[in-house]
Amino acid sequence: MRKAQMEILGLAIVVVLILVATIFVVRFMVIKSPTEYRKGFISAELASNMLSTFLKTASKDCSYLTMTELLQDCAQTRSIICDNGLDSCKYAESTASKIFDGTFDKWNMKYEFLAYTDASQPLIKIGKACTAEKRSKLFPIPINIATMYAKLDICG
Amino acid sequence: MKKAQIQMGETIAVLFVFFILVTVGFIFYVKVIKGNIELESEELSQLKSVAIAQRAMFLPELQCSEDNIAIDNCIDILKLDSAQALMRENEVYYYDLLEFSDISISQIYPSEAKWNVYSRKTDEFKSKFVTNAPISLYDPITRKHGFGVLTIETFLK
Amino acid sequence: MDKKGFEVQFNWIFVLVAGAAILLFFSAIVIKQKSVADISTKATVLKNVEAIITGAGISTDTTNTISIPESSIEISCGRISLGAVSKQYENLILFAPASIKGNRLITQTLSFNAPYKATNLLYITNPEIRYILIGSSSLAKEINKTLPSELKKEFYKSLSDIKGTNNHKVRIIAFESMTEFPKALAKMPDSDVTAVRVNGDAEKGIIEFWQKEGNSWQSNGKSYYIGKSSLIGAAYSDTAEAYECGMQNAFSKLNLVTKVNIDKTNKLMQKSSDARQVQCTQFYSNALAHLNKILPSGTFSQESINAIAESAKSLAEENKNSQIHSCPLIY
Repeated sequence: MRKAQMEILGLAIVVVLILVATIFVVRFMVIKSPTEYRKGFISAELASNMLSTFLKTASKDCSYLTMTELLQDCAQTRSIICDNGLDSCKYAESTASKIFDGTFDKWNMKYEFLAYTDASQPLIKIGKACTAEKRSKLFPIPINIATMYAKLDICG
Repeated sequence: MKKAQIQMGETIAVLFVFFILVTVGFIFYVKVIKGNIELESEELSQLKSVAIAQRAMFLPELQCSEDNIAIDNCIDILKLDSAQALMRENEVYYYDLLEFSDISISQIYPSEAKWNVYSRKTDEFKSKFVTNAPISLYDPITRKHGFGVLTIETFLK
Repeated sequence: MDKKGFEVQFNWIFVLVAGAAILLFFSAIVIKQKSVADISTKATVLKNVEAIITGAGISTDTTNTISIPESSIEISCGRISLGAVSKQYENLILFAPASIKGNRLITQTLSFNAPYKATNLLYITNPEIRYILIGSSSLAKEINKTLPSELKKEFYKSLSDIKGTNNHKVRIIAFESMTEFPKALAKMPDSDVTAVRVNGDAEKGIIEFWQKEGNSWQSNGKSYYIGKSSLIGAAYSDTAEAYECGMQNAFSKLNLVTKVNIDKTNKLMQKSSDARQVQCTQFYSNALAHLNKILPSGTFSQESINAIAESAKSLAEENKNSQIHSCPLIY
């Protein structure tokens, strides 16, 4: 190869390198993806609001006891039997299922709700565990012997 | 062809290539700017929908209070009917706050019920967002909370 | 001229024309870009201010310092503008100086209660403005405590105690008479020194707006306040018109919230009457009478302020009675 041809080849390589670099710059610096303000707002609010609202809710046929009170009984004596014959654990579970049916299932959102004193043996478990990213909220509920927890994970 | 003419031709060719490069660069720049504007407009629409949702969730006309202390994520069901009528009567006032949107409250537990609080829709929207927020529905007479969902549909031009 | 000479000259003319065309092209792009960037910055600031206004509707009793690009914000009744970029609001409840210059904003929110919460009042100012409180009354001390610590604020017993420092703007909130003019401020431009004289208590009172004119004060209008949050609004506003604009919008909102509360109280009364809870029914009936006195107060005036202040006190009493007798609360 002659000297001139070598020079041209070198120039061509430089041009190709500059082109590749430009494409990378354009791809990663110029073309930005939109900031998901709405998703951030919804994720921040949803798990926390859902759990706090659920725990405040009064039962229909359990002397208007709140879900917090039913969960407290569920973790301790299980002495409360509701008008429909269910005990506190089953009643709280059926109410949570009903509420999550009308919300998360309707909105096609995957979730897992747990109520436990010992995380390995939950008293109530609804939904499936998230396999990837999740937004989580944990509410401690005071009981006589220790503390119980209500936990809600929203997947995605 | 004379030497001078050849030189002129060369200069014109260089200028032509130069302007072509400038035009290509300019087209690329305009495309990037246009992309950024679209991106910003998308972000702005999202922010607007969040702002409307927040305004709706904290309206004193709907919010529960206990001895004048506002309770977050809670709607007083005794205020609902009158707030609904009020928003219909004062459409212009509430348009300034809630713009083109549809706000409804659905009770899921203990029984099912639905209230359409504010509705001002438009067919000429560029983006539409639906925000669902779980809320407590408080009855001050029984002092019990029900479970509901506040649905805010925003239509942005 | 010989042929070669002509060729050289033509070449130079050609280079000149082509160079000028290129220069013109890029200059036009630069000028256009500059104006676009200017408008874009102003739009960003306006977007920030809009976010502040939205946030104000939600959170009460908050103070924030926000950094913005260096700008000059003009605030008038229902309008916020930054040069050519502006935003018009139908019912803006905002108290601020007419012009805010700089790269930082201080925002504060307080709720407007009569006695139930009607709305949040939003205050915006600039950390460069010097706020001087004059007086020794308990109200003066309370207002000093309520104004955010981020403000450049000073507290003196009398106007003559004011010391002179270089300031962009001075705002005096006087709880004493305005007879004398502070010597320390004599050299400042007239438009940069304004004052508000407060005559009343924490519940309600009269306020008079003043403007520096040479070495004396010139009255700029009288108005009224109801409650601490409204008085703070007067402290932030430059003129009586700007203050009354914000208060008028707050009163419109109060009117709407009152309508909802009347309906709620009617329902509570109906229920308690059905349940034969005589005492509760009586409290609700009394409360309704007070609420109906607050209702016509859609316009901001001394009469409506007096009516609201009186009824609000009685209504708060009825709400307390409801609580004591385990009746559902009115608000």
